[in-house]
Amino acid sequence: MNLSKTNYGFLLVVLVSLVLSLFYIPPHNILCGDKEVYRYVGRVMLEGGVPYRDVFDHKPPLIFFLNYAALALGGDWAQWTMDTLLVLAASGLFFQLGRKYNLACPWLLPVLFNLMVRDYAISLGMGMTREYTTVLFLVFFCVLMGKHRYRYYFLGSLSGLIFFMQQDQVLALAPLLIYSLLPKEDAAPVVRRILMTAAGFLSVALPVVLYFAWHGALKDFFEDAFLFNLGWYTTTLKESFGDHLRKMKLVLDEGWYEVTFMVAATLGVCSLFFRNRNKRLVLACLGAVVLSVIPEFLGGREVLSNANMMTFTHYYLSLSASLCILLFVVFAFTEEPALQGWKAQAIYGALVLTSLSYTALRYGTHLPLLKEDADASMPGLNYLREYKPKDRQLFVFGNTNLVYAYNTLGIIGPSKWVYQHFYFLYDNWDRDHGILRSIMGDLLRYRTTYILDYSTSPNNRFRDPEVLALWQAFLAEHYQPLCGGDEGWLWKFKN
Amino acid sequence: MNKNQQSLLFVIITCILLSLQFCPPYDLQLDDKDVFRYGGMVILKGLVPYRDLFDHKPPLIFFLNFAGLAMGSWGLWFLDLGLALLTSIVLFNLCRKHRLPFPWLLPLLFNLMIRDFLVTQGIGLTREYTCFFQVLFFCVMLGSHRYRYILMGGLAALTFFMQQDQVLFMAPLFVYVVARAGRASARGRAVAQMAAGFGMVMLPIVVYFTVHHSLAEFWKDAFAFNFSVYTAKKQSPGSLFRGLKYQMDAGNFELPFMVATVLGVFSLVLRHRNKQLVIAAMAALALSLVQEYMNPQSGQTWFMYYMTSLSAGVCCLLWAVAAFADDPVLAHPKAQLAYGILLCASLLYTSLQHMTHLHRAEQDTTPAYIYLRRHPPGDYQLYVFGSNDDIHAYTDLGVLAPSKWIYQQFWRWYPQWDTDNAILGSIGQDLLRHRTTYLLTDSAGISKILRPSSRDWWMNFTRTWYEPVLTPDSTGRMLWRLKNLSR
Repeated sequence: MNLSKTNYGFLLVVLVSLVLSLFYIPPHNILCGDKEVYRYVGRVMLEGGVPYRDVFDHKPPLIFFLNYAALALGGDWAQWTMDTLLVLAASGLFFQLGRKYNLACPWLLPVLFNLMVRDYAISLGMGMTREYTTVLFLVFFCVLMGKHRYRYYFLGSLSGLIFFMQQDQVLALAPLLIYSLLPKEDAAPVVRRILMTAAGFLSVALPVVLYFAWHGALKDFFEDAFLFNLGWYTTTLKESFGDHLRKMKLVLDEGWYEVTFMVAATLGVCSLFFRNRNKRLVLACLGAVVLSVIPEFLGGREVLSNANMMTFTHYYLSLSASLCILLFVVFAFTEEPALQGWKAQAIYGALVLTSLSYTALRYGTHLPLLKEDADASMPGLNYLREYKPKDRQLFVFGNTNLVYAYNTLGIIGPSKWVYQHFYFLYDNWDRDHGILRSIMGDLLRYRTTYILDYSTSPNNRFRDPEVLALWQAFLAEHYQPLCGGDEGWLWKFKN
Repeated sequence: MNKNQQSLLFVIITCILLSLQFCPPYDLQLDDKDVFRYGGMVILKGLVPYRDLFDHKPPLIFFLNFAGLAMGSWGLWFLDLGLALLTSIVLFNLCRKHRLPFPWLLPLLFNLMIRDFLVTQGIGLTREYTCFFQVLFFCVMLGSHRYRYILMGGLAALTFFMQQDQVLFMAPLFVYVVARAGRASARGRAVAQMAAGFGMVMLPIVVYFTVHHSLAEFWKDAFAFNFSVYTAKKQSPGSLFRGLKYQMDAGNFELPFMVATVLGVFSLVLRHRNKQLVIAAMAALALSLVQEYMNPQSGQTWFMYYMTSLSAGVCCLLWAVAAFADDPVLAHPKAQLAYGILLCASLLYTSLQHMTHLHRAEQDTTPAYIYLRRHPPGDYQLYVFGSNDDIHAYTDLGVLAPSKWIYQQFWRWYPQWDTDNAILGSIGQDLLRHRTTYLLTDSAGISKILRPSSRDWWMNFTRTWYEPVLTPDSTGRMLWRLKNLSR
């Protein structure tokens, strides 16, 4: 085979992307409560249910549709294949863009993107919403820099996909979207560009809205996936802006994003003062970097005690796209000898790739098994694997990670409230205990045999002690302990 | 004021400000520093290190603490600041002499690194001083002073007698200097002058210990010990590497290290007028981490201060890269500005955060200390066992310990340490000989002694001769009193 230098570069990108994706093949994917909830909702849909109406979550619906599609196509491996192909496609487009703009090493930034998006300390494996929005964000940028006649339509569609996958991530698109609509950036009239973008967005929004309208769940959809996120979810629980900064520094440090972040931010800011042919785009990309970490500052997801811990790291995953995009713009349009050519790119490339490559190598040679995860192998779950409860005969309380139990046993829970994290976040959540009472009502209605209870786990702290007391009283009255460990216990219906 | 003077003023102000973070009321506590201070107090009271105090560090740190104590409670801080200022100014002058576009940049970086609280644990550790000596060695080496070889020898000796392993940093630079000295006779002269400089530092030390009849102890504890016991336990290269990476990440040294290493490697490939110096500086950087390979405990969070040595290595390598680079990606002022921001930004943030959250060192208010302050013991009347964190009790109360074994870490590290309990026996004898009134123990520390027989021996000794004055506090510390005194 006669391969040119460019093809070698492309081959490298494909190989790196494939190898890094292999870290998270189903037996080795990382257990995470959020992903289990998405998978669970996908299963509910497969059995004829509707998100929000039959199961509560506050994420926009595309992640559920994606999980539904994966399940319909074969399950875990189908999702892995879809995920891998998405990242491969984005990497390929990014590589082509680098080649088109004559970057000295067009493979460098796609490789960096793959290393970042597969950084286990940040991404929590495959399947998080922010992974998909990050990939879509990169594709958005590639489309923006291209010359396709329908590019504004595609930009609108991609914005729609991002919005209906993870709303806050659409904010990072804003500076680039504004840039694309600037009068001088295209010969087409601004109004036409806006209309095309809107049409693209609607082509995603419309089917989603129609689906929920058809199933009579438009109100639930609006309340849970939108209103909820603007109300409860933006209530900050941290003390100060300083806490946010410290948390950000910690995650960048311990997630091995620090060098890339610093290099991209430094070169981005310097490019505003150095000679660069497209400072507006540099500015837009700097804005995108800032806005891609905005979830950290929107609050609502983090409690103060976690400010010094590596939690909610996936909020930073979108940096894998925004930092690579910023570096691309710096290198593609620079006119400074200090930044131009292969030497500068090689130096900065070595800086940004070394630490992440080492981390990937270390993780790749010590892959953990999903089945050996502490939650996946807890004694109560092993018991349930043996006795195989049916639909609505198991309820998990107080540990979102163990929504995994429903999925691994292939059953549906008795209540729509499988996600209960808010009891640990907000003082005012379920103040009248209406939700808790509805859960207890469902348990009694279905005479649910088993409860995996984590309410007294040392990792949990109910913000409202009355909830815990009410739940404990209910358990003591109707259930008896069966087996368990330090954190969670399996209970069985008394009669 | 011209631009150079302004830059120098900036360096001086930065150096003073960063040093102020660790002025005596705000310095960070560490057991090693307590032992060094105790060593200084031992000399001040007319006794001799190694003979009257066991430690395995070379003697200069004790002499420096002696000088600091003699000057008052702020003495050591002023000495430390003086050394930092001297080093910064000399480095600044070297940068200026070689027309670096930002001569203040490397002195600033050096000060930020040497004052990074996450790594250095405040002021007063041996590696901080060896960093000063290493940078001075590098500056003198590149200067043209007529006595530079003598000065280099002197600085090598100061490093050697402060922290032996750090002298390895100078080995590649020594080779570089000798290789470039010219003809064989010039090389011989350079080596001879360096040896003379080394001797000028070594001789007074040897004479001091000879006069005090403790040359054998000095040799055994400060040298032989470090080649036998201290290097006995090995670790795998993988865990060593992980430890290094973790420490650099956690200490904010990752970016300076990465930038210096990457630029060093690229200098060898790109246009550069002095690649030999770059190679020597890269080797020096690698050797400045030699203790990580040698020490059994390296890679742990509580040995973060091992990373301090990088402050000198990184700055010297960056200087070697910047001063002789011909390639625009290395030499252009804009390139250096970008590297400068990368090098300093994270460390500046850390310093700013630390400076705005300084914690004043409070007096220990645990019951044992309150009792001891109310009933101050005299010399030899207090012994601390099992807790290195309480070694400062001796210097706080200004008393000498009854035994030379105040540093007891080795019982927790090496199972083969004191297998016959001879050292423990000698401690017991010393306590009984001096009729030592108080014993301050830490149950948590004692439980970490590796050999059960040593633990039992000690507990047995304590219960036989001492009785509790106070019940254990929440930290597990307990104060005991000699039995026959209380009767």
